[in-house]
Amino acid sequence: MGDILLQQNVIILVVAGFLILLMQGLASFFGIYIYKKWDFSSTSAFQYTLEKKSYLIVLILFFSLIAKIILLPYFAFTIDSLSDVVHGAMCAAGVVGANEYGNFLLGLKIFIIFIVGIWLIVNKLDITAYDYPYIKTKLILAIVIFAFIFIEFVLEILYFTHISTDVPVQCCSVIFGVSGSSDPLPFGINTQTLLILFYSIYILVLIANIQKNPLFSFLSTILLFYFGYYAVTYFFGTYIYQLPTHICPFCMLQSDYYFVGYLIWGSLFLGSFFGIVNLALKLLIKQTIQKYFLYSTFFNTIFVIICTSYVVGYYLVNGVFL
Amino acid sequence: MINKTFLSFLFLLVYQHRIKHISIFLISTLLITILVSVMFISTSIKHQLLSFVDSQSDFVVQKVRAGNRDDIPNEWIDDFRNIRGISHIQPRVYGEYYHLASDYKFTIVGIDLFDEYTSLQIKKVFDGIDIEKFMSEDYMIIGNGVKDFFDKNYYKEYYNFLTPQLDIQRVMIFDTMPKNSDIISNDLILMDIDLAKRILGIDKDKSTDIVLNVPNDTEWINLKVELIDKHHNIKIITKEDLQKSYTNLYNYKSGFFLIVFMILLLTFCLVLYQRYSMINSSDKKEIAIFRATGWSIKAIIVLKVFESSIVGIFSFLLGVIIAYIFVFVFDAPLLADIFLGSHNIGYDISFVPYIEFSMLFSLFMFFMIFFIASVLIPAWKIATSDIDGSLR
Amino acid sequence: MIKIKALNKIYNVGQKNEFVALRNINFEVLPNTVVVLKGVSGSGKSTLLSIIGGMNKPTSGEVIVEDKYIAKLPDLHLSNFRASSIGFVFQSFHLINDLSVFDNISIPLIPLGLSAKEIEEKVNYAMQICNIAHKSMEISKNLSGGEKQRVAIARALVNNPNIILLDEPTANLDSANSKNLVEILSNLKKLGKTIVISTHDSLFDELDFVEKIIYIKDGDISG
Repeated sequence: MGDILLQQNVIILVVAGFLILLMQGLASFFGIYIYKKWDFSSTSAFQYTLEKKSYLIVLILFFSLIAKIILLPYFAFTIDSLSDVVHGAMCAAGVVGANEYGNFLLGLKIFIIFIVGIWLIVNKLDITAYDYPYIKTKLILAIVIFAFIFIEFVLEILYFTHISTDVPVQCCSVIFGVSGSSDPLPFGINTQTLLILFYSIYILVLIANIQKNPLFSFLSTILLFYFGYYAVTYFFGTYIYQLPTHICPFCMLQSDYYFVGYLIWGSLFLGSFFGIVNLALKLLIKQTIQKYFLYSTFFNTIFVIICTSYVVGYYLVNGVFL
Repeated sequence: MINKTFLSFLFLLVYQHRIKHISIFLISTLLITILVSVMFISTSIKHQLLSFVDSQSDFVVQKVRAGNRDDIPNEWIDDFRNIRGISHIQPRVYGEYYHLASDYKFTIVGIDLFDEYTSLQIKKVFDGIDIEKFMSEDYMIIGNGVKDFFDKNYYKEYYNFLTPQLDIQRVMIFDTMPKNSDIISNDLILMDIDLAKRILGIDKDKSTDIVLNVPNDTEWINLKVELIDKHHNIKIITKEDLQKSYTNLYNYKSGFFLIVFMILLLTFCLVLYQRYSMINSSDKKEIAIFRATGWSIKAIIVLKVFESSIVGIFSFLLGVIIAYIFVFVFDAPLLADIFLGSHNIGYDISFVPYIEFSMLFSLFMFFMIFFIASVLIPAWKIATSDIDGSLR
Repeated sequence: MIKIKALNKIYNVGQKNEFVALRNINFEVLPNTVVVLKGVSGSGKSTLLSIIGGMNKPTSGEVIVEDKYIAKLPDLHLSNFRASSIGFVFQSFHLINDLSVFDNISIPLIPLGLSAKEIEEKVNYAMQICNIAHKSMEISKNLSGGEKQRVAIARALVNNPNIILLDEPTANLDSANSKNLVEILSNLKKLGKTIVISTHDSLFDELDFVEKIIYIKDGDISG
């Protein structure tokens, strides 16, 4: 049980995660105090002290959240390096699936990064305004983030302590359904339908962004994220690996494929983030930021271009599709 | 805000406050040097071991009786030989031999020089070896640790082994192993396979285990099944298993060190926090001047955090450089013993330079997270101090 | 340009050592004028000046400078205000002793993200106005009192603010340097600056470019 936990990268991940949890927790709870006593219209020395203290809270939160963002690709890297010690694992896919916590943990981490990003934006808007209009919103949001980070930390410990180095795990071909399990694509669609959906939803995202409609953008982005994941794993990935049976979302993160996985998933995440953020901002602080629609378009387009270029490139070189 | 001008101003300030930074710089350099040295040693050994394992056979088959390894009958080689995909199959003879008086043990490895494959390997390692002479009498090739031991006990040309039947078997020393294989070969003795069997008490028609090579890795899964089909009472160790075990072991060991390091780091962080929290009036005045001329609290915090970070970054770099020299030029005296752990025969190891950049990056990231976390509060404190009050 | 309304500054409110530094201050400073705040030490004039300069917060009342209500501004905006609208010259100059003249004067410009060339231009211009360019590379602690003050003024000018605030500018100068100072101030007025000087030096009583003298005593304005 302790085997994995004592791996270098895992120790770093867990201890750094604990530090951030601690800082986040202290800052969030001190933030409650500020929330209660805050009265911007007051000119008392106490209010000015509160304003100064809120600087510290915000600073600690800012630092811990940036650190969280850095730790996510590091988590991906750690999982990948664990494939050297976990039997049967050829890449991160096997390691993530080593127990029931893995996939949920990964999903939670991504979700946390998204809400952290929202917090950072609300914070920026708050401190550049003239009267700290969103201070209460961002302090509450910090507590919410803390709760999620706490759950994530517990899950992480559970996950790492339940990876066995003796029992072999499944490799991606079993997990992702090449070796004969049931049809892995959602709603039983085939690859052709998936691709049609993929590109159509991308067009929808573009339209939503041009119209600058937060709700429409949110919905289309979620769909693109969902179907994009399947499209990359089950179709575009095969062109990256140049093997129709190699179905895996993680292998493309390795150096064999020039780490293109980070680019692909990175651009999808960024595109998705900017697509959903405006709805969140509208709900939280009744404001949207126009340029984020543009960023959403930009990153989603890069994502689609990279994916498509592998297919086109393969066709141009080989004259056929896989 | 952060551009070339800011950075050159930053370095100016770091230099100006150098007295304040120097103690932190030295302590953190020391910490990093120790940590990175341990990491260098660990990865160097791991790398050598893994390279060694890589050159091994793909499969090792051992006979099992009542859960323990038993000597394997040589006729099983013929049983296995016909399995599809096996390119090479060979028996191995090896075992531990105890020197009773001093409780030291050697590992004796028997080599069959009549086997073409083996003699090719031997010729590769021992350039220009006279195989015929080696085979003409009872000779052995010994590792450097064994040689040191023999020298200490005045065995200059031969050694008298005691067989399990209590017969004395004199074996002449032919040569020593190349120095750069020390990690593997330090306490190894190579000799003719039949001689080894005599000394280790293994039957003439048995061996310790059987190794086989299967070049096509898609056959590996089938192979296991077919081997067990021939003889069910066997244990199969794959090269992959070995690699993973070694990797695990060394990660485990270095993981342990990392934890020890973390405790040190925590103490260091407290020291750091204390040091930078000591804000004297001239520091306060300096910052008040900045703020009076238009610097925001945010700008001051950025300045102070960056200033401290530069100290951290440079101490890390210096620590890595010193660690490199300590481990790969001076072979890490003192520290090496902790890692190599064997009290068997004194090691005189030379570490082969091998750096895992990902490990260095991880350590750097980890170190900087803690470093910056420690200076946040002091930076805030000084940035938010009262302007008017500090200037009076 | 500067409007002060019902300004109060009380230290240690509600405590035993409560101290009223400023009491119901009301006055106005018009653009491109020179105003002198006159009073003895401890009268509150330095406090008033630091409040106008955004370095101290009032207990109550309004401070409006260049149409901005600076009393309640968050730090980001307040520091912008200090950088762009105000140039402050301190009584003890408050230079950083181990830095050169050039580096001292460039301090306000560093966080603005300007290039080295832009900074050099602005600093050179400020040094020329104050006639200190010849000492550009000199370390500040080696300068004379008069030279230090000129560096302090140059630093206050480097961002081209409209308002210059000087706190007891002649307190650490001899008469020759005081005369130099007066000349510099006169030039600044010609450049269109608004100048507020807090002092107890009678040198400023009879100057022709001074439009108004406000007397402060025990935190109150009189006359």
